[in-house]
Amino acid sequence: MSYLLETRGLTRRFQVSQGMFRPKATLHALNGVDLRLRKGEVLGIVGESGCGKSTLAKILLNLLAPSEGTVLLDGKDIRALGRMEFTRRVQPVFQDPFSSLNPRKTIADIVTMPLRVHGIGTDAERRKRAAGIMDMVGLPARFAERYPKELSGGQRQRVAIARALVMNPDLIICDEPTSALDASVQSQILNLLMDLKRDLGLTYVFISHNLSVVEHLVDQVAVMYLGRVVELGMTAQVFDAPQHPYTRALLDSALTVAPGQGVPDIGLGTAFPNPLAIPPGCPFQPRCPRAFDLCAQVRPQPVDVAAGGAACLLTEEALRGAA
Amino acid sequence: MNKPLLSVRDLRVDLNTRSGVLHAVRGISFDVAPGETLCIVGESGCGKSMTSLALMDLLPRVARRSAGGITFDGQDLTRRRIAGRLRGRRMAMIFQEPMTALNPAFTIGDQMVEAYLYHVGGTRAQAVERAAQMLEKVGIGSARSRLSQYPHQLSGGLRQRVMIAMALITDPELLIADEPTTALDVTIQAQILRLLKDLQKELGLAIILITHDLGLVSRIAERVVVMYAGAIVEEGSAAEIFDRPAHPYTRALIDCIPQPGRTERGAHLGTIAGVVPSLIGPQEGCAFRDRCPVAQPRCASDIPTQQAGSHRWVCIHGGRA
Repeated sequence: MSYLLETRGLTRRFQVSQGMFRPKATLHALNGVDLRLRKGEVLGIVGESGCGKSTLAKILLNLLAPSEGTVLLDGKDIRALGRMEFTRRVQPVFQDPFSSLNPRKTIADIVTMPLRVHGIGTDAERRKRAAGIMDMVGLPARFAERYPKELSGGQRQRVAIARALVMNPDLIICDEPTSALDASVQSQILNLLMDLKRDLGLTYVFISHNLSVVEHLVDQVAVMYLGRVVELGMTAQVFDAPQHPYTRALLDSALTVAPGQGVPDIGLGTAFPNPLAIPPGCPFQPRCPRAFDLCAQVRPQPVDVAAGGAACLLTEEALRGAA
Repeated sequence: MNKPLLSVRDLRVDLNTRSGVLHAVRGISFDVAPGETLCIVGESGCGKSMTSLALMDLLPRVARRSAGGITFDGQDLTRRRIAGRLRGRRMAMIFQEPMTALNPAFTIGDQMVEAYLYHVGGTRAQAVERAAQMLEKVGIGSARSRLSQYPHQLSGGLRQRVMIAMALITDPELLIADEPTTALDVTIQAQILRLLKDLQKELGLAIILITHDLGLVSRIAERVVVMYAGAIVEEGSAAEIFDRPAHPYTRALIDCIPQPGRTERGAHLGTIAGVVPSLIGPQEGCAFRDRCPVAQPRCASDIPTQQAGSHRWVCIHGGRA
């Protein structure tokens, strides 16, 4: 079985200034990330700030080179693909529809821009294609000559989606696409993304910190912590029976609508995950309510990308016990 | 309800804009009892933040506040001198982004001490003692050494704890929190909210929490006020609002969010058609009627307030329409 998208051992380091006279520190934003995604599937990436999910998005969009590892699109290294071919097949939808659209261009200009860059069609053909796409994402034709500032947040995000779709791409990388939107607008955009996926056979990587949204939308989910995938599996598996203590804490801390249930006690200490000083052993161990002595010394095996599961000594132990 | 701590009657906030007067808050009234948590919930532009700023007299220059009455513990908050005496001391406020609310050029100790000396007085040594005590109370270890740190040396969660410690240093009776956890990760959010609830119990604090997050509201509110287009459309206990929402807007808003266990994965979510009406100029009838699935012609005229116990809603329909 071939994969539309595959990452192998993605690692990304940054050199960060510690102040004028101090040596630079190395920040490990990503550390050996393996992921696979088939055509037509949605992969969700969840995790807290600093877990590397935005760095991952940039690498998947070929906006940033990994320090090590490769991203394969249909089995080919994206660094070897030409920029043109890559952008024809992979498109982004970013979080903030206010800064991701050029305020000086009309909506029609914004949506037809990728076609112009790729030299596709005549001006009239491009306009026609843009009109078709705008209709598909629920933007009235009269918006074509308007400017982004005249549109609401939800409408702008529709423009961003239209621009992503106009090249007829295979893969869309959505980085927090609804985080800046109100609940009633968010639901419209999520419905739209689901409809487009069904109608056009799209594949999404969906990065979000909103667990309810991820659970609702994705087929499989990767939970990231300090640059590593700590749990990977089908949505139902991960959300209904999380294996990693971090996944469990994350799910428990999500405040779903449940009047009278109060705020959960998730049992994580006040230790803050610092990507500049990742502890030896399991990176989650300083906060883990179930850590035992070995966790501070032994680094858990990375998640097997084929089988899924959790990168945790507890599950390794359980597996050994069963064998 | 026992005597309210804060009582707001017919509060209005108007902003002068180039296209006319924008009525951001259109005559809202509510009470907060001592020690209770009231959540004000609504989407962008509904007037929830303007309401909180109006209560603290922190409105931007272009905004004008008027009110039938705002009283705190029986004292008239619309009078400058009284408000100045109460604000920061008996009523405090925390904001969404602790990095912008703290001064980056001063240590957190300096800022906490200044707040204490300004509002309470006493000696510097007493103030330092009190600041360290408050940091411990909000769960920050080695408090003494933390006092000499600058805001940028702390993580977002710790900064919000510092904000809470600073707000509570004068032992206020009311805390107004505007989206206090929106900028934080979910795990940190849960910890901060638990901290607020624990402190509330310990100190007998009343909390007004402003948020757009319905899940959060359902977990911590005793009473909920739902705002739409500058007005209160529904008010009730958390159970009333979430189990028996009476206003069509409240119902629609709850249906918009995916609810694990209740919403089928991958199914279409509820939506609210149309957009919020312009807040410029007067509003006749129900502001939600153009988007409402059960609107009637008479929604364009005056809308009655219906009541069932403590549950109030502004709609022509009684309960489940």
